[in-house]
Amino acid sequence: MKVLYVEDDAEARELIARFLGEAGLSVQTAPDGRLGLERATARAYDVLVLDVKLPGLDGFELIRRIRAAGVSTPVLCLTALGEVASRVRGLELGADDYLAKPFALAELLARIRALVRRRERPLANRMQVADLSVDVSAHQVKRAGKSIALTPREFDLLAYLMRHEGSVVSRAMIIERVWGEGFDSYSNAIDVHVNNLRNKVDRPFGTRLIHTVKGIGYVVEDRSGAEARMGGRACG
Amino acid sequence: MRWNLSVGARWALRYTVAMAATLGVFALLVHAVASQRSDRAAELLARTQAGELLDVLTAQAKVGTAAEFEQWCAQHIARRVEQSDAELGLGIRLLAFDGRLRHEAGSLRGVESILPQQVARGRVPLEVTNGEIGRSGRYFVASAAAPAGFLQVAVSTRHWVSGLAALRNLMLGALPLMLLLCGVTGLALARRSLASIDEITRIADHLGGANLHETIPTTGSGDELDRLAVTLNAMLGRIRAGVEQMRRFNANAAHEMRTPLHRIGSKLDAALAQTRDAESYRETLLELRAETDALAAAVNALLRLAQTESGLDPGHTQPVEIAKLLRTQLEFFAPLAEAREIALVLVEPLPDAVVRGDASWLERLFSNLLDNALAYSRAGDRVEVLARIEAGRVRVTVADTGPGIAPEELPQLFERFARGSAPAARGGFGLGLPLAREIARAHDGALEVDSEPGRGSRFHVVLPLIGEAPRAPVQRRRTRPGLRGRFHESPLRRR
Repeated sequence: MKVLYVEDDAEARELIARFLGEAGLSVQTAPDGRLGLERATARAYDVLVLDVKLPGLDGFELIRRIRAAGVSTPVLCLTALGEVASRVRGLELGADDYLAKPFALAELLARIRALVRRRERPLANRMQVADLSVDVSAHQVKRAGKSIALTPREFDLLAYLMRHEGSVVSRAMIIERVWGEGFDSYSNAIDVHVNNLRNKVDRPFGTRLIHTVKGIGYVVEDRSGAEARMGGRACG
Repeated sequence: MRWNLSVGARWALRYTVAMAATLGVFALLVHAVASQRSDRAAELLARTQAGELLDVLTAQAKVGTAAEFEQWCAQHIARRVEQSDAELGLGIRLLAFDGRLRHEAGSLRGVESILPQQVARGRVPLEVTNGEIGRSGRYFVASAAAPAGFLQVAVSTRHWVSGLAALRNLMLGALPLMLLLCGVTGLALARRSLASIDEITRIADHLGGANLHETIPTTGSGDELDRLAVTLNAMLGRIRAGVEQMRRFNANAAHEMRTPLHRIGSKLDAALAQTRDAESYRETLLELRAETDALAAAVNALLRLAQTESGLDPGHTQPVEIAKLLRTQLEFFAPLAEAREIALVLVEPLPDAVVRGDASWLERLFSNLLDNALAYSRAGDRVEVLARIEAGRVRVTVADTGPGIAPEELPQLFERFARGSAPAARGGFGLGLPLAREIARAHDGALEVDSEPGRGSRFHVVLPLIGEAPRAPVQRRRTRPGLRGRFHESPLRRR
């Protein structure tokens, strides 16, 4: 997974590049917009991570030029909160996701993986993890051949987790996509929702497929056979 | 060079200049009228003198022979001129029918004069003309047909000209004096009325951060300056309140931030105090992560508040259906309420209310209210959400049966970092309600509260309507043009 990270703050750049590198990503960095543009157009990356406030060429201009050069790589924008106009502007200019500073590095990693996954695996109507299957168009959930009735939001939540099978999705990502941006990701409500989902999908069947990643979010995966499939960060 | 004149001096100067212009115009008018009237007087005098003399001549012509009459004429006009006031410049001349000179006296002596055609031809009996005679100024000359020829009587305008000159001199002399008087009194008056402005300046000068308690004295007269003082005092009051609030905010913020920072420090100290196993370090690090997350959330909430205060971006507002918004809220919070044995109820039917706004801001407004209501409710309590339309606005009420808010805590309820004394189910920074109020205000609405301690609180959100919701679900759920890229991923939000 190749990532280009454009950031002018040297300390943040090194720290984040190291973190992403340790998580198994291949990271290249650029300290300003001009070099960022040069690198983004010279090589193929899976994700571009851009700080909006860049010297020389600002993040918005950079996105515009990258898109104008015909590069369709997903872009994750890092903005300071409080710049709502710039956030909206970034998304309108062709950024695919945004993350407000300050953010947790795990959150950044989860969002990068989600962007890559979205590209690699276009919309599937049917998804399957172990003996759990979700049919989006038929609005049907089955486990071990048995049909499970879910509320609409529980269904949305499960489908979202299933789509990102094997990679962690943060609480903020879940809330943004299932309920909306106006809800607090620190609210206990999200844990209760996941718990209710587990009561229907996991607990009656013995093997757990929905796992909590402490301090970050949740992941759906089949850990029954090979524990080694995970990146090793998850627990619980 | 720039003239640094005081306002008073400038006022006095302008006043004096205006006065000078007025008096100047007045003097010119007086002069013009007087000179016109004096011409008229000279003309009239020439006419009456001529008329009088004509009567005498006509009477005398009937008495004796032509030679005697001629002799009498010569004596009479000489005497008449002699007896007249020298100032009048009287001149008399008698001419024969052919224009030959018979007698002349006074100012007309030796002066060539032309008899007006109209009189010479006998078309009019008397005509007055005027003109200069040599160097002795302007004269009015009355010419008339007389016994044995023509009569001319001249009257000088000298008398009136000197009168006019006297008037002019008087005005030229008095004007500067009057203007000086004007300027001095004007300056004194201006200084007096500006004295209270000087007082305002003096007080404003030493009002500052630490000293905001002085007020500007008012006279109660209700004039412009008194109104200025009253207005400034009101402004000072608002600034005082704002500064006081800011002071409390700083103190509260520091206090609230210090607590988690202290916890972080303690956890670090405890972890560093002795060597532990990897799992223990990991545990500590996760706890620290949670603490810093909470601090980051507080900082984000503050930034969001600042952003909300700067208002909605009108380019990114859209119609938002209140019923749909509230149902999503209930869906989000219902499992949490259920887990905590709180009855969370959306009172149906919901009105078809649509407001214009930022959907995610409005979501945050209501999620903060519900979060707050649930945090202060205990098992067995009830939280109700109801909406109704009133006078072009929609009123959404979130009512709980929690502990309520003491009346003395109500004024600070919407202040940042201020939290009530009632125990909450979860910690927080006391930024949710201030943010909710700012969001309501950004939408030209309001957030109000009424509460009875022991019986619960009711929060009312009032928002202006833009119309009724479409009957058929024309609008797809939460269509946000900017988020296109993120949502093609999944049709997750279909209901």
